[in-house]
Order: sequence, then structure tokens, then C-alpha cells
Amino acid sequence: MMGEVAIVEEFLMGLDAEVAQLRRGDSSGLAALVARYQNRLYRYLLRLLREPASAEDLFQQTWIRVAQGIKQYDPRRSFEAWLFRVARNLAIDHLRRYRPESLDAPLPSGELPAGNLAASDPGAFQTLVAGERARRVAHALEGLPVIHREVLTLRFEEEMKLEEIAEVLAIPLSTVKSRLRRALDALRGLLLAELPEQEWR
Amino acid sequence: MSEHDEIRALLPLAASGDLEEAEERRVSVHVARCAGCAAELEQWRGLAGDLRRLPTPQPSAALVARTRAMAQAEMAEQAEARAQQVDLVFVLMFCWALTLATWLVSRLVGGGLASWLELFSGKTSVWVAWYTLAGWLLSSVVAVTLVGWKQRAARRMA
Repeated sequence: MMGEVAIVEEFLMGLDAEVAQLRRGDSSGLAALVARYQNRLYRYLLRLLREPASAEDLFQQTWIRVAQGIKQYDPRRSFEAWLFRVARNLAIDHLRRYRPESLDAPLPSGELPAGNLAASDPGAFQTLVAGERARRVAHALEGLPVIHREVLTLRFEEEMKLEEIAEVLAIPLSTVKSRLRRALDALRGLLLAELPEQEWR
Repeated sequence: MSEHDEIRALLPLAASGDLEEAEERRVSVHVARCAGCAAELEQWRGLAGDLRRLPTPQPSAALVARTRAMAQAEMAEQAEARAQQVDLVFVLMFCWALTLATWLVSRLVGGGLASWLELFSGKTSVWVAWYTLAGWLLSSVVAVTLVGWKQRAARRMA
């Protein structure tokens, strides 16, 4: 437990130092932050957009926005929440521009994209012991509306607290809770539609 | 809504660990005596675990390198724009400072250029305008030369 606390403190101190460097205009701070968040940010964008090409494009745009707007970031708040919010705003704008359907609409029934969420590296994916189960969950996740996908990925993959999610999504805490509950319900519904309940357990 | 239904509605958030303390206690008490809810809670926990264990797709090294280079170029551009703004402010302040300082000196010395201009136009406001224009032209040349030297030095350092 003490060890975990020490690791978290070290992480936060390193993060603060990197953000301070970036705010001073030192580009080594930016390089360190990209290295720190590259996997998480890319995963988040891929969950939202479902297409690697768009996720890659917005990954670049997010860091350019960070470089441009770091002076507007308030260091008393969470950098992580700010970063994900920048990425989210870009992703939502992109979805509105290129897929003008409602953001809380699922894909047309029966149509799911071809497994982009599972992993960009199919070899790594197949090494998972529970590969088939993970594949089904990833596939079902893709079938959810974007507002459900994002709350699930922020809570379970990014392991953000509900308060942080509220900051990223700019919505009240109570809305985060109800959205998370509905997202889990919807995901379970999709999984149960694919598999009998006994098999799912 | 019955107690059972209320608890069932709380199960997804109980599995994700996002209930208030009081709600969590209610769920624990109920689940201890309701086999159906206990089984459903386990199912929700399984789903939460599945979501936590989803494989993480990673960006390619080329994408990361490209992104870093683009963002750093953006920072360099911003720094250059800021430096140019500073230089502009310097030029403006330098021009005004030099014009005012030489005007004061010329008035203190008495006669000289100031009285020549006054004689030339016959109107104070006109000679002040002439003097300011001449002062600005002269100081602009000096300031632009100084800024040029500074920028050349910065480029050599880079």
C-alpha cells in the first residue's frame, strides 16, 4: 500500500514537472508528456472514433492543440482531464462533421465495424487467454453509441474517477453516474443478445 | 419500486465501485440474503473486469515521432511569434524614447535644431510634428538594425 502511494506520488511529481516545462516553452516537456500519454490517448480516440486513420489524425491534432493552448491550462486542475477534454472536443467535432447522425445513436442494427477496438495488433490480441471473451466485449462496445463508449472507456480503461470523467465530459456528476449505469446496461444487453446468459457467466 | 428492484438498479455501479457509502451498505445487506442479486452482481463484476482487461491498441512509433515533431515545430513557431512581438514593442518604445529624449535635450540646449524648425515653420505644432517624424525615422533605422543583429545572433545559436 505504501509502495503504491509512493509510485502515485512519483508519477504526479514527474507529471507536474513535465507540465511546468511545457508551460515554460521547453519542448522536452512536450516529448515527455507524449511518451507518458501516447497509449492511453490513442486508445481513447480509437474507442470514440472506431477508425484507426481518424484516431491517428486526431492524435496528432490533440498534441498540436496542447502545444498551442498550454497557457490556457489551469495548473491547479487535473492535466489528464484537460488533455482528454481537448481530445474529446476534437473527436466530437470530427464525428459531427463526418457522421452527422446523433452522438447517442448506435450503429445501424447488424452493422459493426471490423474489430478496430480489439487491438491494432491481432497477434497480441490472440495471446490473451480469454481472447474470445475479450473479442466479444470489444465488439459489443463498438456497437454502443459514442456517449456510452466514452464513459465506459474513461471509467474502466483509463480508470478515471467519476469526478474526473465529469470534468472531461463537462457534465454534472449525477449525469456521469446515470450515463455509466445506462452504458453498462446497454453493453450487457448487446452481449446477452449474442450469447445465452448461462454461457456469458 | 420494491426494495429488490431498487437494489438491482444499483448493481452496475456497485460492480464498478461507484456507489455512495450508504448505497453500498444497502447493496451488501440485500445481496447477503438474495441469491438472485448476488449472482447478478457477480455478472456485473465480471463485465467490469472484462472492460478493464481489454487489450490496449498502441499507436505506431512513426505516428508518435511525427506527432512529437509537429507539436514541437508548433511550439517553435509560437516562440518565434512571441519574440517578434517583443521586438515590435521594443522598436516602438525605443522610437518614442529617443524622440522624446532628443527633443528635451534640444530644448534644454536652446536654439539648434528646435529653433531652426520653429523658424522654418513658424508654428509650434508643425515643428513638433516634423521633429517627431525625424526622430522616428532615425530611431527606426537604429532599432531595426539592433533587432536584425539580435535575430542573426539567435539564428547562429540555433
